[in-house]
Amino acid sequence: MRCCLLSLLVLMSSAAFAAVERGGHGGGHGAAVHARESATPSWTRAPLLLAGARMGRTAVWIEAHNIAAEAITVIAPDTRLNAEQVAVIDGRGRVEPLREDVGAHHLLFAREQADGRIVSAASWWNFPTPGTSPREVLGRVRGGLELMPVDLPDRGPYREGTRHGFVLRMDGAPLAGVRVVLESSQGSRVVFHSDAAGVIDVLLPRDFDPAQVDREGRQARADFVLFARIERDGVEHLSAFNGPYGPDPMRQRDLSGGVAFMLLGMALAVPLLRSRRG
Amino acid sequence: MAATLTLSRVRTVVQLVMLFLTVWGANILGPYTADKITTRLPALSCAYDQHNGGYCVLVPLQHQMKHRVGEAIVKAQAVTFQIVLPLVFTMASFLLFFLILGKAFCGWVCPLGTVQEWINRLGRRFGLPMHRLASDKVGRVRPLKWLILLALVFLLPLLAGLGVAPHGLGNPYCDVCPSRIVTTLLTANTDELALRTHDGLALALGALANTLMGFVIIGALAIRQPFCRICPMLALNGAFKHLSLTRLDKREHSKCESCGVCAKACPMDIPEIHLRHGRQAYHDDCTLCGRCAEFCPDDDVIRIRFAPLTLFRSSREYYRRRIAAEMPDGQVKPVRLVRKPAGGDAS
Repeated sequence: MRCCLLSLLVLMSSAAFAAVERGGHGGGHGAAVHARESATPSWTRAPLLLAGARMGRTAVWIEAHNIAAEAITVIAPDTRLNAEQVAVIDGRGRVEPLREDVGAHHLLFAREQADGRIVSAASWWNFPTPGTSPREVLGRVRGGLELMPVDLPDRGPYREGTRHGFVLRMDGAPLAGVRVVLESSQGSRVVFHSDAAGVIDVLLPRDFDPAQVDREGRQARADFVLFARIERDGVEHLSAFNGPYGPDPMRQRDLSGGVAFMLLGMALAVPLLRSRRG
Repeated sequence: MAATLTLSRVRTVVQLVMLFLTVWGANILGPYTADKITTRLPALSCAYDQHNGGYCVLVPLQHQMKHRVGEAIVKAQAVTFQIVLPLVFTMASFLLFFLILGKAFCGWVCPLGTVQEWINRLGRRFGLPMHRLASDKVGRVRPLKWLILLALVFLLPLLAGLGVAPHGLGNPYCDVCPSRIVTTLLTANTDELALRTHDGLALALGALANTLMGFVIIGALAIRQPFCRICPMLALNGAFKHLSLTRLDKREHSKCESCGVCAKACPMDIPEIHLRHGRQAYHDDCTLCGRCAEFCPDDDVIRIRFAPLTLFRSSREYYRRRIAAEMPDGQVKPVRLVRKPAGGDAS
């Protein structure tokens, strides 16, 4: 049997060098968010950084909406790498890992400063190449009004109906009692308020259309944006964080059926407990 | 103190630590994949459990067969090292871990192995019947783990990547693995126990997985390590067992033929540990739990070695202490509530 295994491994290695002309679905595995084609979002007026077309496993177009940013700042999870800026041309910028061998969660920022108004947008892209944890870059203070998640989803997008912590800071100091609004591409609008530590406990709305979930399954995606607005010294600050979220996996699962089959398996094993043999 | 320190107790402590690490480890290490010890662990440390400290190697193997090898062949693009290297890298990482601990990953680290073992101890405590597999039945069961490894870990994901098999067969082993359900249930997450109802194939695989899991949980009360016997990780570890520095060693001894206690002690019912010696005694099914060495009543016959070092060796003295608490087949002796008077019997 071991010979079979080794033969199969050799066969597969050989097969990899064979050319078979067939079509198939491509795309790297492991990226957290699902890239979609661009569309002007009508569901919010808050600034957004949305994932657009994806180029293999190592590059993605990020589209800036509702913000006139000249560049997108890309921050790798590995803090030894310096942040880089990607030019925004025709409303989008091509984002790649800062180093080919360091993937995982890359934070994305865009900023617009006009007379009496500072607008910032933040999001992330998860490259499938392994990398380091984003906790350190998430906790870093970058100045101005910041609305950042405490943690990002490890794999895949956020999920509807789940709770996540976000932190609202102004020049590093937590902001308490500030109104924070969540809007989703499914049409939800929820208002939260930051607590004394500047933390907002966000419950992502369960607002997926069941027909969409039936049609697209686990791959169904929507977007949310969380934003806050304050005024300081006559300057209006608007900060937003957006990302994709998917349906609750339990929408297409049946717990009672699962328990029933587990009990069936248990029942099949019960005769083993009755008699003593061998 | 020395009287209470047995290899089994050391293993129990290691299993406890490893169970925590492989089921809840992320609570210490951090929530991201990047925080994990590895994503290529030679034990069924399930990637569906978001709280664990390291992932099972079977996950990247299936994914790479489907998404890299299969899809790369389909695309018929220029073949580069980008296709083969990830698979080689996964196997190399696995082998690096394996080089050190070898098959001890099964007997000391695997969370499902630990759960089954403890369920069986529960069965012994409650005096439930115990079933051992006879040599002829062991021979019939053994090929299953190889078939599962070949079919569910390598072949079906590759065929799914090629577009020949349905997309839903991308990680068929994970879909039926009881460790996926058991370890997530240990974190109070019922998502994996629930059946996926969006397509017939997912439903069928889920139903099979749950039935298998239910069978294993109850079956483990009466059979030692029921799932381990068909586990593809046991096969994968078995395929490379001689590459590891940690191994089992048995020398020929005149009493062995008439003894056979080692085979009774073996939770995998491996007759070769009794009938053979040298390299042949260290069978593919061995999980390096060390029970055969613990219950061997003769000095230096069975040893667990790390390279030239002997980590544990059988001894008559150790056997006497061990047998005082537990029979070789796992039957526990009644707990003695009244301490014997010093100096032995008064009579």
